Amino acid sequence: MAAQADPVAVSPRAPLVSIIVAGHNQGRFLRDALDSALAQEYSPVEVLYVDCGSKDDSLEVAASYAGRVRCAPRANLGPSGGRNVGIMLAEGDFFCFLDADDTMDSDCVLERIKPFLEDPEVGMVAGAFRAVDEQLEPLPGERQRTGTPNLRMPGLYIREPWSPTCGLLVSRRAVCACGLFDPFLWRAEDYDFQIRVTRKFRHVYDPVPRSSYRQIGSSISRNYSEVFDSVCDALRKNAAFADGRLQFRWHSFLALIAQSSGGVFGRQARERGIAEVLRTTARIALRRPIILVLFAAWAGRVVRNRLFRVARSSASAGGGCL
Amino acid sequence: MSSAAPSSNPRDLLVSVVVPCYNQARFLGECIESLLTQTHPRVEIVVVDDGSTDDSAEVAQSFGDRIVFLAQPNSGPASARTAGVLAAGGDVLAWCDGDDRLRPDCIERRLELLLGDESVGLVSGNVAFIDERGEKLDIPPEPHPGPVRVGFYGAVSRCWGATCGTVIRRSALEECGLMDPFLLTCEDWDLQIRIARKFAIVFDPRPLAEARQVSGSLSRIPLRLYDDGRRMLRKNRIYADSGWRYFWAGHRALFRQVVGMIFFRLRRERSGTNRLVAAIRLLLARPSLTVYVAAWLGRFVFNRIRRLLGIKPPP
Repeated sequence: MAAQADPVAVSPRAPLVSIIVAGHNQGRFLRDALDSALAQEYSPVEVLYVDCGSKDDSLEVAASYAGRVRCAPRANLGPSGGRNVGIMLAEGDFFCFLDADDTMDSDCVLERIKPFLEDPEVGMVAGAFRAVDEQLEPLPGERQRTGTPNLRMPGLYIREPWSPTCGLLVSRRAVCACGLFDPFLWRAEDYDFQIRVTRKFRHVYDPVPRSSYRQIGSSISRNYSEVFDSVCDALRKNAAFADGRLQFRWHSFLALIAQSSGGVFGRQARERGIAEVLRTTARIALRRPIILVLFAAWAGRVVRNRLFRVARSSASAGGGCL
Repeated sequence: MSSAAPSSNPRDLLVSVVVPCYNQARFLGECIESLLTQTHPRVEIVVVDDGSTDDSAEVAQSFGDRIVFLAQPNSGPASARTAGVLAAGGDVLAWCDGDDRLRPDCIERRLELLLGDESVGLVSGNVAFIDERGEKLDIPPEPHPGPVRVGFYGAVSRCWGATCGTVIRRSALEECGLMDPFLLTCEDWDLQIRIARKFAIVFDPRPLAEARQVSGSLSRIPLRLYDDGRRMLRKNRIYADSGWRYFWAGHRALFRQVVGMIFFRLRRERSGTNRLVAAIRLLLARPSLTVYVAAWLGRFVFNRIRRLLGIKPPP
C-alpha cells in the first residue's frame, strides 16, 4: 500500500489526532461516519462521539463501537456545544471534526496533517469536500467548492468560501489561542470559528475533496433565513475586532451575497422558479429588510455575468471576467 | 470525566483550579501552596505557563505530581485558562491567577453557593487586596449584605467580583463557551455575560481570595480596558433581546470603570499641566472617549444642580 511508504504514516513520533464526531439524531448515518473515522491511514488516532440528546438509536450504534470510540452523551447543546465537549475531552494535539452524517476519505487526516508538521505556524487546514445525497452519491447540481492551495489570509478570511467542519483539522494551540466554537451560534458556527483562527494563525486550504458532506432536507444549514441571521451574527461578532472597519463591512457584505443570499436565490431559482424566489425574499424581507439589498446585488451580478458571457462569446475572447 | 451531575456529597466533587502564570515566579509558589491547603478535599491544580521568561516553569515543576503542568507560547491569560480547562478533569472549574492566593475555605464556601441551586452556573466574589510582599492593603471590599443573584442584564450592568476565586460548573462552560482569547482584559466579564444567558450568577461578598496589586498589571491600563470593554460589549450585543437596555447597562458599567481608571492614572501626574497633557493624549488616542468625558461633565453638573436645590440623591 502507498500509505505504508508514507513517512508521516509510519513516523513513531507522529502526534495524536482526536477525531471529534458530534451528532444529533443521525443514527442511520453514524455507522458510516464512525467507520470512516476508524479507517484512517494515519495513526495514532482517537475517535470521540459526542451525542447531543439524540432520541434515535445513535447511542446504541456508538455503544457497538465500545473500546474503539469514546462516547460522551450530553443534552442537546447544538453543533458547537457538542464539538466543544469533544475538544474538552480529547487528548490529541490536533483535532479533526466530523459530523455524524458526513464521512471522511481514508487519507483525509494523513494528507491534512502534513502542513502542520512542515510549518509550525499553521493553525488550521481546511479543505474541499464533495456534496453528496443520503446514499453518498455525488449531487451534480451542488456547487463543488474548491480553492487555491496554500492560501495565506491573515485577518480577513471572510470573503473566501469557508469549508464545512467535516474534515477540518485544527491544532490544539490554535484552539487555545483563538477560542472554541461559539455555542450560541447554531449555524455558521464553523464560519465564525474559522474567521477567528485565521486571525492569528496561518491557514492552508487543501483543494482535493477528502470528505463527503451529506445535503439532507433536515440538515440544519438548509434553513436559509436562519442561516442568514447566523452569518450576520458571526460577522457582527467578529466585526468588533476588525481593525479596518470599512474594509470588514465591505468584505462581509460580499461574503453575505456569496454565501447566504447567493445560495438562497440561485438554488431556489433553479429548483422552484423565480416566482418562489420572489415570495421567499418578500417573506424574509419583512423580518430583515437588508436582504433586499443583497437580492438587488445578486440580481445585478446575474445580469452582469450574462452580459459578460454575451460580450465574451461575441468577441470570442476569454477575458479575466468572473 | 462525567458530566457535572450534582453529587450527593459535594465533598466528593473534583474541583480543577486553573492557574495561568506569566512571569510570576516570585508569587507562584505561594499561590500553589494556598491551593494545596484548601479545606475542600478533592482539588486538582492545573498550572499553565503562558510563555514566561522567568523561572516559573521550574517553580511549578518543583511541586512534582501534586499539580498538572502545561506550557504554551505567550498568548494571554484567557488563552492560558482555555488550555487549562482542556486539560482539567474536574466537574467544577475555578480560576486563580499566578500571583493571587485563595483563603483555605474559598473553594468550599463558594462550592456551597454553586451546588445549592441547580440553575447557578458561576459564583464569583470579592477579594481582599495584598501588595507585592503579601501584606494586606487597606482597600475595603465592596460591602454587600449577602450573596447576590443576577441574570443577564445584571451581568451586563457590571463585572461581578474578581477573576480569582471564581468557581464555574463544567456544564455551564460546555453550554456557554470558554473565555475569549482575543480579549486581554474584560475576559471574565465576557464569560459572565455569556453564562448569564443560560444560568444564574451568584456574587459572594465575602473576600475569600487575595488579589495582588502589581503596578504593571494589564487591567490597570485605561485604554486597553476601554478597547476591550467596547469590543466585548459589541460582540455580546447580538445576544441581547433589548438593544437599548443592553447598551445602557453595559456602557454605564464600562464608563464607571474607565473613568475611574483614568482618574487614577491622572492623579499620578505631578502638576496640573501634566494632568492636562495626559488627558489630551488619552483623548487623541481614542477620540470616542469624548462621549464619556461629556457624560462625566453632565453628571458633574447634574449633581451640582441637585445639591444646590437640596435634593438628596437616591440610595
